[in-house]
Amino acid sequence: MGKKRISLILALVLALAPVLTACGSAGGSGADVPEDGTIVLRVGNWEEYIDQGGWSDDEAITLEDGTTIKGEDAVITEYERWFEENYHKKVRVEYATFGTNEDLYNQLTLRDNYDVVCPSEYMIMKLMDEGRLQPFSDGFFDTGDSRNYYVNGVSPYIAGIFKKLNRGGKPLERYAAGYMWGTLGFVYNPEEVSEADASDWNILRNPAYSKRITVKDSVRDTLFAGVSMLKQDQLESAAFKGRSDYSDALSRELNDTSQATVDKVEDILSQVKDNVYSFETDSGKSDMITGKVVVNQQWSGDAVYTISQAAEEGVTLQYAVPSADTNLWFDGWCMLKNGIGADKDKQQAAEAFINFLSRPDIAIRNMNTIGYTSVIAGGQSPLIYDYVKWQYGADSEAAASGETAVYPLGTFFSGNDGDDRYKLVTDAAQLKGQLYAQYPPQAVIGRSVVMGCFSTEENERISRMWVNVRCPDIRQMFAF
Amino acid sequence: MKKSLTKNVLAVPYALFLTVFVVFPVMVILYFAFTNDHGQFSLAGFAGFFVNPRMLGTLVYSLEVSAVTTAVCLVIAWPTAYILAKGDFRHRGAVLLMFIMPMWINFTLRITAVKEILTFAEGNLAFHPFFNTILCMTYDFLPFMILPLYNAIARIDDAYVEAAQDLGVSSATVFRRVLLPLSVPGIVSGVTMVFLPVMTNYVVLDMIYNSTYIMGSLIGSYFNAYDWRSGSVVSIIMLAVLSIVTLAATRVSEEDEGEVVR
Amino acid sequence: MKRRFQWLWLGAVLLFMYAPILILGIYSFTDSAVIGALGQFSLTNYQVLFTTPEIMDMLTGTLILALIVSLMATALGTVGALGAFYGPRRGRRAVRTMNQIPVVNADVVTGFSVCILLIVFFGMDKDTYIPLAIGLTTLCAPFVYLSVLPRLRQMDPALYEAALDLGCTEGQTIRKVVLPQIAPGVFSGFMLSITLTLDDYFISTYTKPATFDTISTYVVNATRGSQTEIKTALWALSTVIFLVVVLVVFAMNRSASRGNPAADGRKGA
Repeated sequence: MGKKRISLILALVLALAPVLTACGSAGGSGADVPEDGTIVLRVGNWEEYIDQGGWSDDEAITLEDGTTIKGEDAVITEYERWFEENYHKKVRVEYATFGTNEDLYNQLTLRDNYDVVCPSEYMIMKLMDEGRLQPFSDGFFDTGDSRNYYVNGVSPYIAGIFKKLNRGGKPLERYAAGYMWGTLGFVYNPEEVSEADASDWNILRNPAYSKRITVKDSVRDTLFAGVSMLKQDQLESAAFKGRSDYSDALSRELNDTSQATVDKVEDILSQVKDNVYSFETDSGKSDMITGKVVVNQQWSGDAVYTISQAAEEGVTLQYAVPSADTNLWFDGWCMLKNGIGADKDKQQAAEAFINFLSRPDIAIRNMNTIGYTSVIAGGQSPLIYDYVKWQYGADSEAAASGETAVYPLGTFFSGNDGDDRYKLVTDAAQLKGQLYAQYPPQAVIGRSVVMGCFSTEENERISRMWVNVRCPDIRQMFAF
Repeated sequence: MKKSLTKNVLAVPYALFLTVFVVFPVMVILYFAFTNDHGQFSLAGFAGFFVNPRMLGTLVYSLEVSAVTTAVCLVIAWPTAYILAKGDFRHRGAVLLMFIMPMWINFTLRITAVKEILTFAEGNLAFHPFFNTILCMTYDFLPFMILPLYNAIARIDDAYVEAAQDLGVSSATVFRRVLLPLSVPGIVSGVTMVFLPVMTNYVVLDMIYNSTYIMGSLIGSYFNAYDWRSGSVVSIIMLAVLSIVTLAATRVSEEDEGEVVR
Repeated sequence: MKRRFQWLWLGAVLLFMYAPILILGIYSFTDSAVIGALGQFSLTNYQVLFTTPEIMDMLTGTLILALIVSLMATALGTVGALGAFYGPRRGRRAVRTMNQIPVVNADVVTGFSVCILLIVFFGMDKDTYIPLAIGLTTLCAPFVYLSVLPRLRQMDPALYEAALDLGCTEGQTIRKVVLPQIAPGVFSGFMLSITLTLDDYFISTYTKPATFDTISTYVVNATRGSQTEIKTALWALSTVIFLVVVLVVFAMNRSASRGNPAADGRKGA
């Protein structure tokens, strides 16, 4: 009968469905039944944002005191081992990745599938606002416990930012621990673009570089650029720079999302749209190397990678941070109330995970693999600074030809810019290159601003503006 | 004949499937398009669209791209289909297949191929966004225009052409008065298959660095922003355009069928 | 003269259609990273293509997806066509109208609306692959329906009557007499489904789980990205797919020319 055939086909389909499900790579699954006693920790991170191990011998890092750092196993695997050794319990990590903050937010809303995640600063703030984050236990902040690598090793500068930022009276530091951080700037080809031009936000609408510039295909990053362009003259003025509350004022100006500002930014960005090569998400790096594009808006972490890649091809690129202001971004680990809840074991595993990632050698491994800058300075451990010396210290060649410079890293490592322990002798070229991107100097840090999360209404306003920028204007098409 | 159970039941599973997965989604987006945030009936979405010069600009730009692409495809496809259908080939089927085959290769890979060639030729794709868009869209959709035209022209009875020629009519007139009208069902079919997809395929524009939005880009953008209402408004507008095109197409083909029979 | 002009025109159009793919094919066998200077002969791209787990997972996943979706779509579309042909008049019109919607609709709108229904309204989880399967089946089944229905119409009604007269039940008739007759239509509908699924970008993007990639979504993401190795590996993929399609199409053509008339296209009827 026809019915028989239908039921046969249905059965076949039902039988094949599990095959499909198995074929997708290990995605973040939902509720999972743990084996006896094993804690299951569901971790959500960005793609390619952790060391997966498997380093070859020539990739190993040998620091000046002889310590060798080599990623044999994946960080996750080593964490599971370390946790069992130190806390005498078993943990199993289910690791999944997400592509954008909005994707993560949506996943958390539709179904909770994570215990600890690593969103960007504004998403952390949003999650805090909505009361979704589990605060760290008091034990997490105990500097006496040597396993608390985070509080013992985080850069005083970053710690200060986390202490200062608060949402609804609650400080960020109680809810989030930093992972990677950086600035927003431009990678440029010094042979085609002057440093002065590259340090100016208005390069984006500079017709001299028409169609050879790229910007990020992201509402927030282009918004930041737009607002900066709008207010650049004001922000560069001596009067503004001389203000006693300079940092706060700068932050206020750049987080301005009033309708009037957004409207003006829309006009500016329309000009930018006509001037750029494209709105890219990832292709900027290769376009810079091939020379098709001479200026590329980039985050500092990506800049490091781009400059390295270009150097391998014999092309020298540099990084510039606009003189008016820059965006300080960071990704941080936070625990989810829905995931952790009252489960003390899980909370301990989550906090231990964050601490393990903050252990200096692990932080170095992650930094080395993904090219971004860890928030970890090392505290008492000299490993991180030794790594920086290994990476960027001036070699004998440069020292002989006198092309060295002294680069102060004190602000990041001890909070004191004048700290003699952290004055690195490096190649002069690094002052505009990777070192500059990875560890910005005091001047850059001083003019960096964290972009907060916006209210629903503000977000709608900005989304509307973004769509408007990309859409053609009918009035211009028919020259009304 | 006895009314049989099998006959009546046979259509049910598919009808059910279509109702749930074709009709319901349309109803849901109708709901989202015609309500405001409080769930009340509201035309604000559509009003907002049609008073916004940027939205209108997007619609016009999309129509431009679609119209030009469709026209170019027609101009290239018609002679091709005619030669294929009426020409003297030993292995007509095989030759036809060669023109249809690109349909079966994934369009993203084909666009990548064209993009690489264009990059080599132009250096910087961003300088000619409109031209590149038309070229790539034509490249993508040409096979879809050739096939229905071929089917329609193949059905034209040679007797009509011979009769016209016997009457001493010039080739140009034969084309205009006999071939073209008789191929209209194919033209209509081809246009329906090209016009709407071009208006909404924003991936092609993304790949060749055309930063301007078309109607499809709006839907994609609203989707990523989780703005279901605006996305639904644009979807309904697209469905409306679709209905207009389909209705016009049906009207034209019915009219012409009448003329030919006469 | 006319004949030469005809061949010239056809040749030009063929050149337009195939030049990019063929050029990419040539370059896929070299070590060049961009079209321009011809590098040296190298099979690295193919090596990368077949040894990168990411790409192979994506390919197998897409193929399995296409198979499952096409089976479902063929089953539904065939049963639907049978039901529409043999069933009551009113039902037929309803089915035909509903059937037309995904056929003429833009993929983006179909994908968006199915996603809204299943994921926003019903709250389904994308990770179960169910929205993806349903979305693609919704796209493909109507085309199967359109492939099968003309065959039903072309069938000699006398066969059906004869079978009934000889004592078959209706079910048996449909199974043993009708289905073999419409088999070519069913088969071409199935192949069409496979093609549509492999080609689809929008429905996949809106309904797929985050960690799953189809060929289209993978290529679009890769061409946005910076890894040259993957980019050139995709040139190899394009060449491989092209060769596979050529083989399949000509195999089908040979078997078709032995029996039935020329292969159905997308909108044959």
